[in-house]
Amino acid sequence: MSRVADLCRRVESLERKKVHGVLVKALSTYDTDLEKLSRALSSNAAGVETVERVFGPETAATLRGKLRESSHKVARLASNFAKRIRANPAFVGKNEAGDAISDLKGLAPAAARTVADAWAKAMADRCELLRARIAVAELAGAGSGSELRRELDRVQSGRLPSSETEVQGVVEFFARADSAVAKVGASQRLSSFVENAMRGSASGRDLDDPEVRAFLDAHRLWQRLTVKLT
Amino acid sequence: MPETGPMKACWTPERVATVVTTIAKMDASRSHYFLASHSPITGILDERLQRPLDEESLFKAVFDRSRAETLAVIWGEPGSGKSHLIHWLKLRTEYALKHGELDTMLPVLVQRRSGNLKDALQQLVEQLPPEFQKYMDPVRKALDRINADTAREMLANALSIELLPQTRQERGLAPLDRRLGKVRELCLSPGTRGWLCRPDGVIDREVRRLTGTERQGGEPREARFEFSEFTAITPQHLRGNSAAAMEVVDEIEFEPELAHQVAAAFNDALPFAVGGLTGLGGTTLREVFDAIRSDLKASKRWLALFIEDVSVMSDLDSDVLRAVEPQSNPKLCRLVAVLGMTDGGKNRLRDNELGRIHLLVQMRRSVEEWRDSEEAVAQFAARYLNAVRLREDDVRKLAAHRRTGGDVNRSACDGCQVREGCFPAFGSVELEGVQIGLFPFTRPAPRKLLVALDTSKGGIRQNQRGFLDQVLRPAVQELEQFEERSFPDPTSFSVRLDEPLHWAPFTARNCVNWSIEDKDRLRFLAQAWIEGRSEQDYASLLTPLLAPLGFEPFTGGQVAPRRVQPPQPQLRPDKEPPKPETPEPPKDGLKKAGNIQNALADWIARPDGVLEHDGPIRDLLLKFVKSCLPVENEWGLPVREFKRLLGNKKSSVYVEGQRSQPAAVVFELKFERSEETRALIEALAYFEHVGSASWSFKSGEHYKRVVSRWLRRNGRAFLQRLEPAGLDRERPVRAAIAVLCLAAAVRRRKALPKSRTEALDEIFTPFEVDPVLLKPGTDWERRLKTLRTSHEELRQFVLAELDVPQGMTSDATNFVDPRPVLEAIPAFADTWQVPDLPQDYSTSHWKARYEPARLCEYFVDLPALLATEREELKRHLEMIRRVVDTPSSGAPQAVRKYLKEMGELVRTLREQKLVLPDDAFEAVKPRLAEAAESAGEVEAAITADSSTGVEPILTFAPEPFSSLAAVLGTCQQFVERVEVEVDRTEKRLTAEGDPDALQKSLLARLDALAAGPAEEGER
Repeated sequence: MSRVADLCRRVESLERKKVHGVLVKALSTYDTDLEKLSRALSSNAAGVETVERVFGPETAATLRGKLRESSHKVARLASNFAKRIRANPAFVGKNEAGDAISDLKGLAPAAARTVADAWAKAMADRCELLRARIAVAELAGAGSGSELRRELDRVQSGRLPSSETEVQGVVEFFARADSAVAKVGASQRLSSFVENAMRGSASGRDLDDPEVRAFLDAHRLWQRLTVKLT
Repeated sequence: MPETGPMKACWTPERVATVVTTIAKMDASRSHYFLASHSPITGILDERLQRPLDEESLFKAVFDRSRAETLAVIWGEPGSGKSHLIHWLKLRTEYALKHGELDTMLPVLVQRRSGNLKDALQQLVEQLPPEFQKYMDPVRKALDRINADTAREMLANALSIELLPQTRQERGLAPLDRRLGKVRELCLSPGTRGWLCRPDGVIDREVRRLTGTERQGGEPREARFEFSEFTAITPQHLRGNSAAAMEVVDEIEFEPELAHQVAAAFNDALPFAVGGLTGLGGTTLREVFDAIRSDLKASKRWLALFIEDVSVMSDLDSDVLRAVEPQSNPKLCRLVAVLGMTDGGKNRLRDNELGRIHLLVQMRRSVEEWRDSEEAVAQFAARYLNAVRLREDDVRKLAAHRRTGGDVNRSACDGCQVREGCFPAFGSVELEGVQIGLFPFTRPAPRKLLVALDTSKGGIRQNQRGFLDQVLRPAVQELEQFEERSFPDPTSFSVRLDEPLHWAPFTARNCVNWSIEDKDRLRFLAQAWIEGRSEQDYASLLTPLLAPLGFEPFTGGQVAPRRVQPPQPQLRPDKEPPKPETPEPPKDGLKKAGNIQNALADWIARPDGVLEHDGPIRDLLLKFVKSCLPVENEWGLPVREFKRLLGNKKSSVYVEGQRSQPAAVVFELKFERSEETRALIEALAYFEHVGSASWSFKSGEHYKRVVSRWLRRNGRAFLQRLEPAGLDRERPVRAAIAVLCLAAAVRRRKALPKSRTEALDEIFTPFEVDPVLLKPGTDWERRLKTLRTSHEELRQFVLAELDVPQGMTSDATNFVDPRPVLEAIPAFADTWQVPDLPQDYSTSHWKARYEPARLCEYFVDLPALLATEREELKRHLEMIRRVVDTPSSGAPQAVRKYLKEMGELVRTLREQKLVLPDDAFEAVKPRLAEAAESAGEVEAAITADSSTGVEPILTFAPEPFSSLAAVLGTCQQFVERVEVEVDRTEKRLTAEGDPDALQKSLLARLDALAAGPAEEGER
């Protein structure tokens, strides 16, 4: 191609570039938004893995189940958006594109909240159980569980760990806590009763459990029980 | 008079020396010669009574017995005869004393002689009887005193006293301007005193006059203070002066007119100062005279004092006048004083001094009347000639007769054997009944020679003294000249005579085979010895003189000698003028022709003779050469060159020895000093002035032949002088034709046609438009512009040089000789070289003629001149190749393709609304298609570029090519500009974010998101 012919071509493409140039800002913004969305989705995935490592596959599976819907929605929206752009690059300059991007952007926080909520609930459940066991242990005379309890409070108040170190710290804490209360030998049912009773939500039927009555008897805890009808 | 051979002188050389002298012969041994040659002086005027006097009546008036004392002053210009008259009075007085007419009188004559006071007083002393010598002691003491070395200082001191206000008042002089109150300080202050007493200053000259050390020769030089004496004081004399003297000097410097007053004051003071210096001033001189007169009275005698020129007595003239003025003193003897005085001296006399003079006699009219009379001058000459011829005893007898008041009554011609032949030939004058022959003069000759005396030469005046010195003596002192047939010798006389009219034809007819010397003598005779104005006059009046003066007879046939009539009062012979055969010449025609003849005569007479009044002569010659030189017959000299060189200015004609010396003359047609030139000019003068520009006048045929002969002999040679000396005349023509060929090639951008006729037409076609060049502003372009502007001049030069003249009236060229052109065209076509023209063609008077041809020098080195054009062609080609991005082969196609693409670019830009204002490209944009059509010029340019000779470059038409190159160059610049703009735009777009990239990134992210559920699902 000669120099003039090449120049001719370049001139011809200038107009298109200029038109696209108008969309550059939108494209850039959208790209940023999508990047953030991607990062958020990735972060959610990491959070699910953390939940899984800390609270086990079941909890994680529950969480994944909750997240799957939003992920499908994201994929659908993204797929549609891409199709529209490919069909008409100028689509990105239209309001619909902005709406689509807004929709996409709105999915990321919800997913993140789901993960965070799942983490918090799993954490609360676990800590509740531990506190009950700690309480059983203390009732059983295994010594003061205050130190453990304070540690438990600190872990529970923390957000979803974002680093491996934090995740490992939480995992190790729970291992250490489980080990500490395991010496009391309280079953799960007992521990739950004790923990519920301490919260005032134990059921009278729990008293039907021989292990519960044996424990109350053993540690002469009857007089400390109150009955409440709600 | 002998029948054969010339006449001999009838006198001796000794007698000439004795008689013909301007110093009065007043001693007793020679006074008879004075009387014998003395001519009665006429025209003497009693100025008071305005009454004419003759000598005798003047004598009687001087010695009028009714007056006890007489003071007479005779004044006139030097040489007017006052001294002669005083001498005559002295002799007449002595005669009267001797014959008892007067008695007891003592005559004393003071002659001028050496012209100083000392000598004058010495004469007075010597003529008094011994017993009177004692009265001269004061005079002797005065003479001794003024011999002192300190005379100048003493005179300066005396002047300072005379300049005192009170002294001036005593002298009756008006007071000086108050600013000159201290003027006497000039005489006292060392500096200005030194200036006044400097050698050859007024004071010095006055002292030398007093002491008799004045220069010898000439008239006594009067010492008078002039304006410049007080305005030209040298700087060295302005130093060392008193404040008072400098005050006067400053006043004069501030107002120079005061110098006139100062000079007048000094002149007033000078006589008194001289008197004071000599001791003769004041009353001293008068006391001496009074004492003498007193003693003469006692011895019953009286005094007659004749002073030839009282002016010689320095500034004592007033004292002398006072000493001899009438006193009516009974103790003093009678005194008759006759004082001669120059007109200058007389004019200085004050009114009171003039009032004491009894007789104031003026001599001026005497000279004028004498000079105006042919008879008086002839008689004057005759008296001297007679005295020269007479034996001494006859002279004495004649003198004795003249003392009685008679005139010449003895003639040496009485009884002369040749008288019968001499008188008719030379004429005679009658004096008191005797005839005196005028040989070797004729009757008109003395006066004609007298009035022809050349007064421009020092000391020559047209008076009696001049006649004796310059006319009579040269005529008679060389006796051999008569036997040697060389009289009259024109070179012996200081005269300026009119040339004889119609002389040349007369001599051509009558003096065949005569020697030049004889022709000169005869012309001189025709000028001064006769009154003739025509050939007939010459023949009749000169024929009688031929044999006596040793000439051959005239050769033109027998001309009857006209008998010389006895002396007649009228100048012209009493005969009827001849009937005119031809029209009368213009009134002043003969006079003008005569003036030219006179000028020519002086010019041809001597090798260093100057041609005076050469303007009219050169006008004649210019008119002659312009109209008569055979230019038409001499091919090669352009008429316009002929006219240019000769022009209308007479400065283009130069006559050897002419008075005028025109400055900065480029060309002179020189006429050498020769008889042939003289004859030509004379003939032209007659043609112009006598014939009124025709030959229809008497002797016209003769003059016509003179001119024709001159033209035959000199015409071609004179024309040759207008041509370049020793140079090839065709060389500049060939060079000019080569330049015209070059011009035609450049104009046409083609080689000259093969056909000679067409080529001839082409080289003479005007070069009217400046040629287009690839590279403007070069030396080549400047020279081509010069060629274009000078083309017409060059063309005219060639036409003029090749002109075959058809007459002199027009400069137009009707026919040319084409041969040199037809030879020069192929020469140029073969070599494409312009020949050089040597510097010899740029010198002398032909420089302007060949100036147009010098244009060839501009184009001698064509290869060098065309180098820039060739480089530019190469540069254009390289540029085109670079632009269209192609090697040389196939360039035209590449150019067309490029230009087509440029068209596409223009369209794309328009469609894309990309506006790039570019005036240059906007100008060429409409020409893209046209340029594409001229793409073939590239091929021609490649051909020219690949050649080494000048022809392809000269004949390469650069206009379409350069236009194409310009279009391509502009396109290239535009493309570059567009590229820059596109680059800039693209960069700007890229800097903000490449939409394509962004879109790509966005899509990738979307695609990733879209794939997300599957990935999640896989987990």
